[in-house]
Amino acid sequence: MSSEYKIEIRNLQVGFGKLMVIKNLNINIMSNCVTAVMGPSGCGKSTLIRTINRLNDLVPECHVKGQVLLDGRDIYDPSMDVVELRRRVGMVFQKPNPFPKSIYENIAFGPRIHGIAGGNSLDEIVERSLRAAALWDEVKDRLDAPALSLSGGQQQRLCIARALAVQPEVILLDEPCSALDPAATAKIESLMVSLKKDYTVIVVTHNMQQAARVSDFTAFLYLGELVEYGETRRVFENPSSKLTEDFITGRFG
Amino acid sequence: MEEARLLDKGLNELSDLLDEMAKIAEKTVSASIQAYLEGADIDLQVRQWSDTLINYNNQVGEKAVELIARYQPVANDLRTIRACMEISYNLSRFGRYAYDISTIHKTIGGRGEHGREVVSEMGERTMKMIKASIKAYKTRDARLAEEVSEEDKIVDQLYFKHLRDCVKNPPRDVEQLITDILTVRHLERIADHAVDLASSTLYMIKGQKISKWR
Repeated sequence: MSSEYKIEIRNLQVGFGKLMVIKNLNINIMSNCVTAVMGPSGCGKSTLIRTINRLNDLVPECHVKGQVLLDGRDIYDPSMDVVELRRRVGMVFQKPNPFPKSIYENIAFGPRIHGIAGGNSLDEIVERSLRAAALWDEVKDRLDAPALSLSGGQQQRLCIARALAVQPEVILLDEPCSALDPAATAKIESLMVSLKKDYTVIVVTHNMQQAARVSDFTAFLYLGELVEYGETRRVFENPSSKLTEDFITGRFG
Repeated sequence: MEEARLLDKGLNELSDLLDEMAKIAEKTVSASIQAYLEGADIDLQVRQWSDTLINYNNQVGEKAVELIARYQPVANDLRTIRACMEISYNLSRFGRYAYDISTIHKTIGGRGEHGREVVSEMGERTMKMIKASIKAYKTRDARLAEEVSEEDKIVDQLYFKHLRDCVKNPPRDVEQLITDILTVRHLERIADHAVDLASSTLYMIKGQKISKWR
């Protein structure tokens, strides 16, 4: 395998019962880049990223064929430890979903389960994670406050910090800003770009301008197939597919 | 029936402005060449048209910025807006150089037989380039756009040949020399702007400019 690809997806097919959502999809995701996945509702965006941490396993009737390689190793191999996989591939969802606990406990939760690596104290992990998620300065004096007392944008950054606390390699974000106001969105967007220094970031978004702003590469999915994939600047300036052109210029979707 | 996009209304306005500018620009260059050949003074009229083009060019710039700010256009829409700004600028330059031509023999004087032939031929070819570049834009014709740069090579050859001729056999009348040289120089610049216009058209259609250009 080529080391510049963090994730290689080969001949992926995902269905729920008789419904095929992803049809024979191939894509290579670059390390330390932000990759945006866009497409109209129902095109398979969320299903695609949920195969990368095997979250679809939790859905009855879901069946997956093909290969998803993380650092060259198939994550669907029976020998794969799924709990460990989900530590390496963190996820943030559309609506912020902090635990009904304190700010501190939200971050400490994962490291407690997975164990604390590298001799760091829990306090250190909490501070480092909150700093990485650009939230530390806003909450450092009230770590014992309930996480649900934070604003929506702060809660979403808390969820990112919670994902970072277990030292993942890949961060999946599924519409992370769709419930946030423009100022909070701008903060999350800057955060996504700064995170790529240490992580591989994949973001599903309905917001084309967001994909254009934050991503290095853009994938366009339509009816479960990868229609276009390339450098974001090219995709938005001169897409090669008519379907992509029509979608991003608002002619359908 | 598909609902029209909000952006389309703005793009149509840009397109209308450019259509109007194209008409005036073509008329302005044609009139200034004709006036040179016939010795007519249309300085004031050409000045007015040129100012109108500059005014339209500003309107295109304002509209384009508004569309970018409001709609964050991408892909073909984005390329069209960039192309419209560039095409509008080139059309306004046609007008400005036409005004320069019309004003030369008024201020310097000395139009004579010396440059008549070359101005006539370069003028004809330049007009052909203007018409072709505008047609390529209006009909989204990539091949026609590329042909414009071929014609430009001939205009350049005529221009440099005339300069060499002037060095070898300068006319006695210095005023005539200056008027002729500046006139062919302006025509050569107009031809370059026609290539630039065609290049922007090509970018609008295909996402790339004319490769041999610059």
